[in-house]
Amino acid sequence: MKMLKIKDVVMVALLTALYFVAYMVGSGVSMVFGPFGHAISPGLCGFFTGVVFYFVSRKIGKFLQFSLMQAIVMILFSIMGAGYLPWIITSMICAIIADLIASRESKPAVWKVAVASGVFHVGQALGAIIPSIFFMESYKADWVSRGQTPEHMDEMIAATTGAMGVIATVIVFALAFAGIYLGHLILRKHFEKKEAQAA
Amino acid sequence: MKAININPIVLIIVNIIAPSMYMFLSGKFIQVFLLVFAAALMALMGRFKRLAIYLLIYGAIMGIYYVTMQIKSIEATGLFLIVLVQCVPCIALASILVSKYNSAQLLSALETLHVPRVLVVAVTITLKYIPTFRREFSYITESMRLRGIGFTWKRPVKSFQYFIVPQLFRCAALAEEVTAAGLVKGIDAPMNRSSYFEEKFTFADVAVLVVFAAGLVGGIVWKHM
Repeated sequence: MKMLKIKDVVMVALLTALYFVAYMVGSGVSMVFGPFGHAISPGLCGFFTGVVFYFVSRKIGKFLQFSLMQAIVMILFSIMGAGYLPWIITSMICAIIADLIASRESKPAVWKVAVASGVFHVGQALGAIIPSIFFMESYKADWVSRGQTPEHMDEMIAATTGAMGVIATVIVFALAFAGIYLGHLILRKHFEKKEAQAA
Repeated sequence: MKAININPIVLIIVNIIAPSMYMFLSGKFIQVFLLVFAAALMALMGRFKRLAIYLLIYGAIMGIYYVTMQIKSIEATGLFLIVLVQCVPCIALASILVSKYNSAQLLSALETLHVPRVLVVAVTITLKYIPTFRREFSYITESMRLRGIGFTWKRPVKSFQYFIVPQLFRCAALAEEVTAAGLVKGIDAPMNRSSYFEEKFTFADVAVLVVFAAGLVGGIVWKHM
């Protein structure tokens, strides 16, 4: 199991910048689709950033690469005033699991990277689902005091609890999973060419 | 009045603590408090142009929110904007962090928090790289234009590929350069890093944090009244 060196940290940082920009765009677009769009926004982001995730896995391929990526994203969101404790905790736990799945070997199978990406993004989705389940009343009252309507909050809670919460989680996983295969489709020939040159 | 110099750590602490406080304080209170606090801080730092832009954006979003909430069919837009507006004060302070301080200042300041160096280096690089994306993408679109390649919805994967692949490999190339520059400056040296920019805590920094803490305590009192 190889650990990150300073060169890898720099590359993860630069690629996370790209991931973060794509994530911001994806989140903004998905929120327009209402409460369910908000619930599955990590999946949409996972789909479009799958190529970055795949690139990190193939170009770096070292343990804790995804945890570092997630930590940077969480710190950036916190600095921008969008940090939320349950979200940070679930995201970091799932990023470590993603590392355990796909960062213990330098070139893991594509399906392993896809599962890791699914877990990684489900961690982000749980940040919206957990407060809806465990702190429902205070969560609703707080957002209503900040300008949301009670009806919209009910829709939001409905989209992230019960069967809908499970469906949203599955969709997030599936989208993030598919994103890696999109990344593989796009980058496959580039890496094959590099490997052939190296050989 | 002379503009005061604020330690970047103060801005980072405020931005990290403020959103977490939404869990404990009245949402309305913290929304107003942050708006006033960020505006006052920008004025004290002499960032008047940024302050004007900040107030303009905040006012515009709130204006659109109130208009859209009157019309049922476009209410969703307003509800989206009211989520967005909560982050505007912190984004304004974060923009100062990126524009006012250079990487060495940010590194020195973050190291005083005793955060692992790997994380400090990574966050500093990411923070400084994000604003360059507009330029990077303009290079890519210019190259695409010169080669007669345009974005088309008929071939979305191919179009997406033209945008993202050059950017990914550019990041990889840039990583080599940044690492080399960092190694020359002893980025991986195991001893404590010294810096030309010694970011010490001053009276002004403490005063800003005290006002911020007092505001939060006020919020708790407000909630329980």
